[in-house]
Amino acid sequence: MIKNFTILTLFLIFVSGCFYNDPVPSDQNVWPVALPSTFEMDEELLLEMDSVISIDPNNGISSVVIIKNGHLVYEKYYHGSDRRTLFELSGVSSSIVNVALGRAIDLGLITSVTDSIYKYLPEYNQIFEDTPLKKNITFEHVMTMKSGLSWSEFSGGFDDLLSDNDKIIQSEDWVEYLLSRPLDAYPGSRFAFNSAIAILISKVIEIQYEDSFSNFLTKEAFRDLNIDHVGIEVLGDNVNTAWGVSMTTLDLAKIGSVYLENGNWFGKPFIDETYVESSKSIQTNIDYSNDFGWMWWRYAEQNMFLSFLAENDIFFAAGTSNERMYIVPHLDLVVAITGTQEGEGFALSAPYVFRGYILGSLR
Amino acid sequence: MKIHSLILLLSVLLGLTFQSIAQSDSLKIEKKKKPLMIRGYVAGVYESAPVSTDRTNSFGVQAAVILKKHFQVGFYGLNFSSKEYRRQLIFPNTFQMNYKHAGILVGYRTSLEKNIEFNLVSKYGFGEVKWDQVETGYQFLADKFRMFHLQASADYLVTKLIAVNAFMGYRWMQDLDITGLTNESYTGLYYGLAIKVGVFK
Repeated sequence: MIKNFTILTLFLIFVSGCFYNDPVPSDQNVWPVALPSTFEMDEELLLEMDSVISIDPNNGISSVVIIKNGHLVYEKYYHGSDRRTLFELSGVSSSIVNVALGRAIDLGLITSVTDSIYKYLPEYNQIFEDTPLKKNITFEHVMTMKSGLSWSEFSGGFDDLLSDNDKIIQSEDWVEYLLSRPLDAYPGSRFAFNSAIAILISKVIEIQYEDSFSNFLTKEAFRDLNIDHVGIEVLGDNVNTAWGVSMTTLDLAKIGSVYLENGNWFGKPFIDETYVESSKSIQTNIDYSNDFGWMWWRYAEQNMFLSFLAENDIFFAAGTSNERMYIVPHLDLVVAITGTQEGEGFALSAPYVFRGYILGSLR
Repeated sequence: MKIHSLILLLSVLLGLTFQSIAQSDSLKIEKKKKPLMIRGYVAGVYESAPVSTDRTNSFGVQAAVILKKHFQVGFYGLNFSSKEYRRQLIFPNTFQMNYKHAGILVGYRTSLEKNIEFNLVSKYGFGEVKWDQVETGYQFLADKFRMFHLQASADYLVTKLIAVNAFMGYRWMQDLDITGLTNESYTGLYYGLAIKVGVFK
């Protein structure tokens, strides 16, 4: 009797289990949810933005997340993407590498940003021995794009020359290609935009961590943020951390929130505050439009964009495929926008969406 | 995988049943056993239950075996999936809430001689709440919970094999952590009807 009863009970539990077996994604709502109007954002204008983005799959925007005053006030995915989609971040990847470096320093893998990268890249010793001046290149020089290494970012011109970006992708060892560039200037003396240079930092982290950069991000650096899915493109033996990082938009916004809160995550220190401060501060003046921090962009004082803001404390990460993450401390605002990766010349640029609709909704 | 597991379990159950029949055959000579009278039922269930400031209408199934005339042991499953419960939740999306739960039930029956029987039942189950985006049908948020029920019910035996059951009870939810809803949102008085088919007497 007892045996039959036990079997029956097990059977019933099993049947119940069959009924109840769907995998459930974790609730990723890390921020409390609020309506935009709670913070005096114009919902009509945001709805207009939503319909403008929705109307055409070729307009270049695939998701928008807005965190205002510590609340999730807008989250929308377009054209077949969803909350779990890992969006390619293009140039925003470099800003992710900046965060990773800060964490690597916090974790003791790297001593300081003023350290020479030379001592962390033993397998490339010969390159440094051939040009000893390169031994003076520090992590800070790399992040401010003042390594002194010669770099041609864009192809074209009268002779239709290939850019270094084109060439590095064709090369066997990307780190070797970067380090082998001749020195154009003394390290630390001159800005030369090099969107590939984040690869040097991620390579150092891989060597120091003794595991892949992807594992470093998910198992170590971003663990406290519950970021456990980060995609990184691998081409041959090369890990594309310069343009090839993919994340969900919510995870991207988490990083924005940490930088908005000077390195804290819901009140707990996540990354060194002075490192964050230096990362978002203007380290280099580039032109009339932009300044540059440590792999984060700033607006130059002359930028017309600033007429939409009361203060110039905005800093942002940017990718060529319409990806942006804007952080505006005086508005307590984080905006993460992902693009569609389908070429340039989008009908709807991320800066326009940010300026015209999101900042517009706050006026 | 699920189907295979179910087939395996059913095979094991059948094996055990035949084994016990074989054993009882071999003992027939020694003592005469009372024939085993199996009672039980399956039922289709409708339930109205509270969710936050509203009520939801769920449908499901219930099945139980009746042991020693009074005791019943079985399982239940209920599913709420309709357009009734919608909210904006995360701007600018509209979300629809769905939930389902299933578990085991134990009960006690009284008044076996009459056409109306009374039951006291407790149910313990597990379930999940989902917020689906209406526009795309995409499951945006979900979380699991546990639920405990205490209910009283009455069966009216329409025929020997069919009974209409009316029930009312109180349920408590635990472990839910999802945007826009809490355990308290689902806790409260519920009631409903079921049509049972089976052997009751």
